[in-house]
Amino acid sequence: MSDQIEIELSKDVIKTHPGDTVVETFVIANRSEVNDQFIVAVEGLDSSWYELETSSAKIYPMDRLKCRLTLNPPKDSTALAETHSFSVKVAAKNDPRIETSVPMTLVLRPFYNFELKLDPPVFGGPTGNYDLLIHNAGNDDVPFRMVGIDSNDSCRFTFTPNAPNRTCRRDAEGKSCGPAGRSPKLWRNKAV
Amino acid sequence: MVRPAVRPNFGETKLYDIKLNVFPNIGDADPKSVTGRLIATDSPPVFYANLEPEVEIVDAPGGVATPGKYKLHLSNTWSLETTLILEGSSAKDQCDLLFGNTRVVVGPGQSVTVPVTVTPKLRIDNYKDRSYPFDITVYPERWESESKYVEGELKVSAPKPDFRLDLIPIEPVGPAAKYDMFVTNYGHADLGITLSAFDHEELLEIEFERTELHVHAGERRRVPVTVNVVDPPPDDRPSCTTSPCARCRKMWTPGCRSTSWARSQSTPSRRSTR
Repeated sequence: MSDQIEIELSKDVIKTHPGDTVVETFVIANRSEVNDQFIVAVEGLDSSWYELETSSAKIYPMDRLKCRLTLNPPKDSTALAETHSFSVKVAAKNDPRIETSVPMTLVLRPFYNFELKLDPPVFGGPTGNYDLLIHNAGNDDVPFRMVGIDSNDSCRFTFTPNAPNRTCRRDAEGKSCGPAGRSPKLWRNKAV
Repeated sequence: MVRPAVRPNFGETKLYDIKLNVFPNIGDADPKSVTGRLIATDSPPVFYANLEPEVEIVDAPGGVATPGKYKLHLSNTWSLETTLILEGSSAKDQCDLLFGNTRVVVGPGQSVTVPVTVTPKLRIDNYKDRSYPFDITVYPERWESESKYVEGELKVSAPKPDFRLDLIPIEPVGPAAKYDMFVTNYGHADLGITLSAFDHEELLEIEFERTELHVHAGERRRVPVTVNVVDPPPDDRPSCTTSPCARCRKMWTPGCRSTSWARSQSTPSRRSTR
């Protein structure tokens, strides 16, 4: 951390929904007596989630530069509903040891979306054995409750597991999760 | 699992349109539903599987057996179309089983024949007949509890050995002569050889450095051989046997009195050895 560079944030915690766009401004001040070129970067955040107005700028001694950081996290399961810590870093181009960074926080709010599939759609036998596939396309864990009905109102439906279950948002990332340790991507409620 | 309250009578089917409603218990997300259909029957899928060898015994001329070919007959005696899943395995995983199709749809009352190819994975390492047991598992899709097993056996006949023997005299001097015998295996499989020797008049003692020999396919191996005269009379013991006896055409025979032996005993090489 160098005292020759100063970064002033308008706010260090940004709250938004995935799919929305937030523009945050910050000011870079050159506190040195050298006319220098500065490199501006964001660290700790997926590069597809933001746009930096200025990545390199010349700032005169004791002068200031106003920069814009546009945040637009995608509305999908990769933008998890949680707190994402990142930082804005400014370094002198000629001497990278002269650098300053400030921590920032992006709080993503949850959104809910899911898709259903019955496999197979048609089944023959004395009992019907289906897989109900629930794909949690949101960015947060969701508990589900399932109810079955039939045209004659004469069938009994058994779901395994039968309790309301929480599909893990990380399913979409291909990581294992869920109370029953089910396969990633699609968390299955397999009928027996 | 969807279980109808009343099971259909024998041979009957009954249709049920089903709908599954899924409620997310969080946030303001709306419930969603998915629909399907149950064709209720009186029993699980009923089918039969039978394996018929087309070429069960195969030769292994090149050390690797040619595939055995079979026909798997599948009969669906159920009231609905069924999809049968085929899986194969062999003892100690020695064979590859290849099906014409591993997922076979068979209509009600229909039969289907699926070609099956069984190939041994291992190279034939000797000239013995071999057999490879295997089994095939058939089950209706989503009805693994109704699996049926079919056993088969692939028989591989041994290839014919192809080898050659060469005896090269390297030191044929004196009553004890030394030779090199070479065994060349021209075949495609390893060869186990037992060596033995005799002479008709039982006057020689023939010894091999080893009598049991393992020769790999394409390999040539040497076995030293020593030939001794069994107790030759002192008067008849020549020191040189480089030329055969003119009378009996043998290299040397105890008791031989022919003039050719006398000549051979007076050769410069013989004198030089004394």
